[in-house]
Amino acid sequence: MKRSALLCCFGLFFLMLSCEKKDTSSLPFVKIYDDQNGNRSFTPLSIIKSTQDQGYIVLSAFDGWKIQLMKIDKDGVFKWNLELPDAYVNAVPSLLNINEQLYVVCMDPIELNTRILRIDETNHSVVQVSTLEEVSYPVHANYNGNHLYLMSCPLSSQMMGIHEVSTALDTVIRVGALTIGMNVDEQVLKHVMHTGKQWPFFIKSTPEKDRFVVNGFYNYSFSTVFLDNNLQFTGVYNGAALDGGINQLEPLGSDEYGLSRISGEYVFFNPKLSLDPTAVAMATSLEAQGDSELNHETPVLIKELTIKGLKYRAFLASTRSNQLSLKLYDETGKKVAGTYISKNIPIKACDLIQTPYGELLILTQVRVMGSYNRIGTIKLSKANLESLVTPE
Amino acid sequence: MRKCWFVGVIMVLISLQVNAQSRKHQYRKDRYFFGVTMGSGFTQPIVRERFSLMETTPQSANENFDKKYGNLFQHAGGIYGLHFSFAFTKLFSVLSQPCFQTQRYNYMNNYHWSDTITGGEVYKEFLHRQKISNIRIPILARMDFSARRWSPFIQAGLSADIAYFASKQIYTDNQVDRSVDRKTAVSSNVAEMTEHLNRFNVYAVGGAGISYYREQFALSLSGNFRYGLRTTIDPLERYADYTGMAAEYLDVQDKFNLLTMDIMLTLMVPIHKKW
Repeated sequence: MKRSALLCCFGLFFLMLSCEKKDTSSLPFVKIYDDQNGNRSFTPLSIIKSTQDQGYIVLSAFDGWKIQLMKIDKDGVFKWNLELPDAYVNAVPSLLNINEQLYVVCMDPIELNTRILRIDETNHSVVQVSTLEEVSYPVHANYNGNHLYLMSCPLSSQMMGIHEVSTALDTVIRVGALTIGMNVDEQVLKHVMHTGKQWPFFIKSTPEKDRFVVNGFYNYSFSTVFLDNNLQFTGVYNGAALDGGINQLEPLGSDEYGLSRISGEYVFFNPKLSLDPTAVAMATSLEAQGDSELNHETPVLIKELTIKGLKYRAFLASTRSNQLSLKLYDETGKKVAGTYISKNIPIKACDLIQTPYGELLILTQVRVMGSYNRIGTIKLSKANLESLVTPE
Repeated sequence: MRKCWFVGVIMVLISLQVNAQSRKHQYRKDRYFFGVTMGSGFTQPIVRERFSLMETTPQSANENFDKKYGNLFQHAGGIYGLHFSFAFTKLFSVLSQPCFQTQRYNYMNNYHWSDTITGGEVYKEFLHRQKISNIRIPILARMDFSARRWSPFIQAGLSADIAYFASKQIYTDNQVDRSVDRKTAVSSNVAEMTEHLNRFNVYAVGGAGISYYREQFALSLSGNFRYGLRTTIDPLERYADYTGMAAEYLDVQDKFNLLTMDIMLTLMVPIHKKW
């Protein structure tokens, strides 16, 4: 009897000590960056991996069109921030990595032309690289690996400009133009000063680098226009005047795209759709799956992710009930996972990147205490993402 | 000071009773004792790493957002369960007291913003109250110092704890004074936080007590310190917002181990004399 009592005790001890070991090399986090000035409102714009260490650089607008840069480490811990001088305003929502240097594209508030700034992470400062006199009111920038492309919407011109910048980043070497045909000055001013609707402007290059997709004002509407390599018009998917159309798009190659569009108050997703770059058609008639819980006034982000060696398309959007909705689709366009992130306070997705460690880092605008717009970051760990795509 | 005197007098009386008791030995060797136990536990988080959802910047009013924890005796919880023991010799026994235990711990934090547009300074102070319900299965070795009726003992061992439910509630007021009156403060709903925990934990247990043996029954009063060998919060689930309070109340829990001080009263009966 003594032996069985002892065996029982040993069995229980071994059971206690046989705990499961978890992989804690990649841990998720949620961070909100404080500023005691309650009058100050931040609009995060872009996040990019630091070129110096494992941290990240965050670009934000504050108090309208002023610019702030912030550095965080890989765990979201604040390192430093920098408010750019008043001579630099209206940063476009794209931090650029060009030849392992980070750049910001912004505007001079007096001369209204474009300035390109290089971020000096060592000295926590920016260095002006060039002034592009012919580009005023920049609204988006894209570096496709060969050249920098800028999109602008000068006031009173009723035109949108597409500009190819030289590799030295100091001159415009090619220009394309889209005729708007109506006055959109008020919309553009409210957009750049962050005092009204944020229009989903973008210029994106296809993976084959044979054409560009531009989202902007065109022909009395907010439309998606295809341009060839000479920045010449080839086709368009027109929005419904200024009230509907494509609000996000990710070129997948071979004229296939993952896209999000708005119709009325509804947001529609299609993770894989063929678009004809020579078509003249309506964006609102593109086949897509509607989701009535999504907020049509907040951005939708689309990114290709690699999870467990497989490619997925991530669609991230804000819901009307103050959450972020993340949906993952496989390469065939089949939805494989969906989850909600955050709760109970207004939150807006501003940018997302997949880290070199297989994690998903989301840049958000969070309204702290329901009152103060602050910069937030949310990281889903590699294990979080893997559990999403693993059938239970 | 008066409390210390009172405890001292009790201890002296007990030791006099132990020494002055009858010389008759209470037969315990090879006996089983089954019984019931109940008591109170006081819990203190031992913080190993601090986490905050809000990051301080040079523009912050606070230097940090570290939580201020309450002390051991502010965190009382109940214990009730069963007692099983087997005496291998007249002085050495092994026992288990599987029981339900409630652990509680509180912490406070505060935030401040200057908002001249909507009316000056904004202060928020939060009291976070957590409750963890466990099933615990300890295995303890007990060494008695006497084989007579009154028998002081020490005991030590390990305990397997399974947290089956945990919840939290937050109280808020608009003054930073290191106190939140729960009667007047605005409270959140009670939210479940079980998913945030390492559900299984192992505690190192050590303590002392005194037993009183009669032929038909025995009573024991014991005090144990228990220290969780695993951290209470699952690091993978720390920031997962199961409660819905993360962004709303800027809440994320620290990395800590729980230290518990238990005081337990046990009533047991010998089931049979010898196998």
